[in-house]
Amino acid sequence: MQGRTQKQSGKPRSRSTQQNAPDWRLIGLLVFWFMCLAAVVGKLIYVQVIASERYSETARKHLEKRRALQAQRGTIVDRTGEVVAADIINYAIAVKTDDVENRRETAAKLAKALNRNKDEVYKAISGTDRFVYLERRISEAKAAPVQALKLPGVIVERGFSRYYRYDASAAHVIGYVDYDNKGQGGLELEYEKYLAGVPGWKMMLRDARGNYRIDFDAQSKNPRNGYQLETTLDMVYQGIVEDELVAAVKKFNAESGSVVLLDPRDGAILSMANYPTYNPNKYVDYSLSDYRNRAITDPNEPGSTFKMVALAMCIENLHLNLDGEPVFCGNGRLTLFDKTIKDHKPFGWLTPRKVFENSSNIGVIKLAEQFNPRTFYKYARDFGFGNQTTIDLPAETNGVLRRPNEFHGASVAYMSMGYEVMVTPLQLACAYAAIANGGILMQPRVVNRIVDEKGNVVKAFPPLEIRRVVSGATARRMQEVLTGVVEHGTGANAAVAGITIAGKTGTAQKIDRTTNSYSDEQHAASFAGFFPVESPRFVMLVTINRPKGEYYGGTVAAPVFQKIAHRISGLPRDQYIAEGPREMASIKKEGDGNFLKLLDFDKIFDAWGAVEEDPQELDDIVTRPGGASITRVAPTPRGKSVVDLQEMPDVVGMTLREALQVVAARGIRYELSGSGVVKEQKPAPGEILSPGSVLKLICKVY
Amino acid sequence: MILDRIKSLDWLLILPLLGLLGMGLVALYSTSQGASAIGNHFQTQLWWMAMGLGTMAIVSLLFPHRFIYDLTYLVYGLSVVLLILVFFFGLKEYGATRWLSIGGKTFQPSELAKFATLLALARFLSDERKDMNDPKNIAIALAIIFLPAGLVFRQPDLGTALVFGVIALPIFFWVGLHTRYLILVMWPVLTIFASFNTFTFVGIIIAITVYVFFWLKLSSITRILYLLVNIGVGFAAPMAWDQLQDYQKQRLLTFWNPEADPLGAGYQIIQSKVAIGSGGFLGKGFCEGSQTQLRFLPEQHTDFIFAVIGEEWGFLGVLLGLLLFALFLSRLVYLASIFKSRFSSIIAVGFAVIIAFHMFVNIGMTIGLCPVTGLPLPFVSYGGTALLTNMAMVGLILNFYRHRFEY
Repeated sequence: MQGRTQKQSGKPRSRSTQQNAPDWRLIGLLVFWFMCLAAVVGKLIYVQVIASERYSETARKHLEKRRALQAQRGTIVDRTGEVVAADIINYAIAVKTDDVENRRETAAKLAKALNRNKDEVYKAISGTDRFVYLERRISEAKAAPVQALKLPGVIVERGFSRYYRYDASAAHVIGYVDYDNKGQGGLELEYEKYLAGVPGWKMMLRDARGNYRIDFDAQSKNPRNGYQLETTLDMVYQGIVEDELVAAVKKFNAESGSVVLLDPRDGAILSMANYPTYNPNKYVDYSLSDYRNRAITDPNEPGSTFKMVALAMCIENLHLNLDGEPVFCGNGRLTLFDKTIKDHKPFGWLTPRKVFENSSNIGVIKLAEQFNPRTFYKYARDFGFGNQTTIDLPAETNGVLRRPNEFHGASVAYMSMGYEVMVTPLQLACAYAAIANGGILMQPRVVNRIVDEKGNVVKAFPPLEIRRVVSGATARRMQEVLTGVVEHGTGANAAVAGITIAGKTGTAQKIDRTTNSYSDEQHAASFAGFFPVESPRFVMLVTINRPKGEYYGGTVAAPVFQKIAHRISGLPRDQYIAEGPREMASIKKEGDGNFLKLLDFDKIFDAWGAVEEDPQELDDIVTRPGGASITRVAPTPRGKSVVDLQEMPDVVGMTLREALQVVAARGIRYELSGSGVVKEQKPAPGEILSPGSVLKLICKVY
Repeated sequence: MILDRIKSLDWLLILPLLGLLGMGLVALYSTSQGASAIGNHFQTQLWWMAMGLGTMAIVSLLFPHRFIYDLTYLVYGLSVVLLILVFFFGLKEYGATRWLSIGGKTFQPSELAKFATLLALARFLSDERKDMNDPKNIAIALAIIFLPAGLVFRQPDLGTALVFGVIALPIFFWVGLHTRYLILVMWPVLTIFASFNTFTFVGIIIAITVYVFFWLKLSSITRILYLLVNIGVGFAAPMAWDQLQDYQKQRLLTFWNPEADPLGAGYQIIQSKVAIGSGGFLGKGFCEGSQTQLRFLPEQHTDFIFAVIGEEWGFLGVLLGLLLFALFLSRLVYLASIFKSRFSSIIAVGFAVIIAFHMFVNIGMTIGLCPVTGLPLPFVSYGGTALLTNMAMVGLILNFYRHRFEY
């Protein structure tokens, strides 16, 4: 063997005793060495060439995580483009308790930064929960000190949350969202699929410690933000309506009240208000009954306002001479079967017109009794009673309208004066709108259009005629009668100088909940009407439930109608309504188009860090660095395109009417003293106002 | 004169060495990138490398012939003393006491001891008057190894302690120990592994019987004793295994199947394999290795630097590395065979074995062939002491090369 190895055999080796290792030993070592090398290379070929794809896949799994990108929820604006509900960026402070190094110390630091009790915070983060929210929906200013601490395990999360600029105003129509920004009531629920948008995602690089890294090449799918809802509401009217409604409910110490204000020509709901109400910004503080949009969910026996059905029937079918053959109303008492019907005073003989103007129950019964149940039912049904108005709001009820075969002997009599039927305020308002609209019933609606971010119309809601209920001539004669009610009948309190108002009062006895029979103390006072009669533009229904003391529709509800009509008739609101496509109102994005701004990454990644806890990826991530402020881009008569939410406008020197336009357009609550020209305002112009604070205007007449 | 000496250096040994050093620097530059890098190892290593090359130059060019030979036992004694000092005054880190602090700089005496032991062994074994197959001499040689090896094992540093043992076999083989002794040592080791299965156990006992009774000329008593020892080991091994605690078994099994414990002991190996595997044939490019740059790869500047090369330079880069090692080591073994001096020859072989062992254990670890031991990759991994001593050894070999025709 030694002889066969050639490599070093030529080299001289003089001293045999001190000869180095023989060649076969060298070969042995080298063979062993190359065997090891072959094993390594073999394994490397397997790992790097054959199984490389599998290892790359594992690497990707380690590195990349798909993070959800939260879509911004669509804005809700009123008919002038005024933002009512919008998403704003806010912060949450969360603690991943496992990652906290020193709980006592962390709690102390957090408590100081958040201005909270040290022990309370310690208790919160040392429980069994591994992920605890200390604060949610707080401002950047409040979150910044915590951010600055950079404590391990403490996460400052950024997210979108809903902000309702007008607090409780129009709350029942707008609705509210839960903590996950999902619609839970009103339009927020009804149009959830349009408002919610579609979340996107982004592949994020993650390092070994779970921190997220910038990867500009990462795959992503941008979220599709929610669409904007352009409602028919007018927040200026809404404010006025609520003002007066709340004042009346409080004045009469009533249980509840509702006002519906709509445009009879196209069924657009301009205002819808109920009291009690709630603040969608803090909805958890209210009881469930406060969330109820009573105007569409609560049917009641309407009382005399329902007499319009009998009126329509008589005029259309009898070609009744309103000032012709009088009806004998006797001494104000009429016994039907075992019950006695009363008028509020004995009227004796009344012409049909006077029957309605004085709201004589007995007179109406005598007129209506000439018809069979089927005819009465047809008219009531045609006006929309007993059926949902199909308004685009959730939880509307049908009310109750019995079928003719369910009528008993006195049903027509009772129903003609507004008992034995249950109607919602909206149904009644729509019925009156049909009269105001020349006999055509329109579908009530709250949303005009749904537009996307670029202003393209996603869905339009044109006015919808439901049916012609009565002929134009009948409608005109009814308007005439109802005008008389205000001019010299029970509705006199609704009259506004300079405007022709038509309407009807209603005073319904309510069922006493304890005795289960009609009560002499509990009433629902209502007034339904429209104006200007020459070409009706507003229909309004006011209902005050269970007022104390006064209870007549003419004395409780009509004055509310009068005040609202007076205030809104002076406001030239129509010019605010934009024509054509309008840019979407939205949260202003700082550094827009520069999303991957390095400076902000720390913040954002902190937010992302929160998510790992949840394998479902319910986390929400804000894609936009920078703060947010609400802006609106909509044409205004003054050429101002941006309305600053917080800054107080200067209204000193304006007439009261001008000042109120400015103030109301910005959603600022105000208090008035005096009239004429504004002499003084508090707070001063330019001052930063927190939402919900009140501007005091002191006026003087020159 | 110096120029002549430089010319007389063995550039075939130096060139692959420079390649390996450059490779290490490139990898270290990559691991020092980004905010989450543990430190700028690149810069530090650059200084160490300068010092290493200086040391190499001094040792190779200026040391007189026989200088080291004369100092051998002194160096060995010194390193043993240092190891004892470590035992009493060492710095504790990662649960092991391996470092001595000298003027603020930490220093790992086991690195020096490795080579001091090699020198001492070489000097002892190069004495031609001694019969290398005399059990007495074998015992002395083993004692030279086990004194420092035991101290290192106590630190504990199993990997480095193993190095001492691993040097022994090839050197004994090199200096002419009968192959049968080596084989007799091998049998019990094989028996341990075979003993967990009845068939393999019976098979290996038969093989041993055939070898001992029909191949070797030994006294009957020795034959029977040897066979009994093997059978005893075979029975004891599974029993000892059963005596182990579950976690201990787990730890041993993780050696062979790291995926079984992905969060614990297997984590490093999995990450390393993923890094190398995802590098593929061509690699991800300089400073582009995601596993490296995002710090999934643990100990990436020291124990797992090979995975950095594997990820960023791919299979081609890794092959280049292996090729450089192959050239370097082949050259060393070749030099060993041409050195006239037995002392030089043994040292060259011993050094080659040490480097080769480090290389295989380290690379094997990164690709899942060997358990995780914490041995660095020579000339490539970050670490000052190891680099300095390795470079000094290269200097020594170069010095021997200049005097290769002398005895």
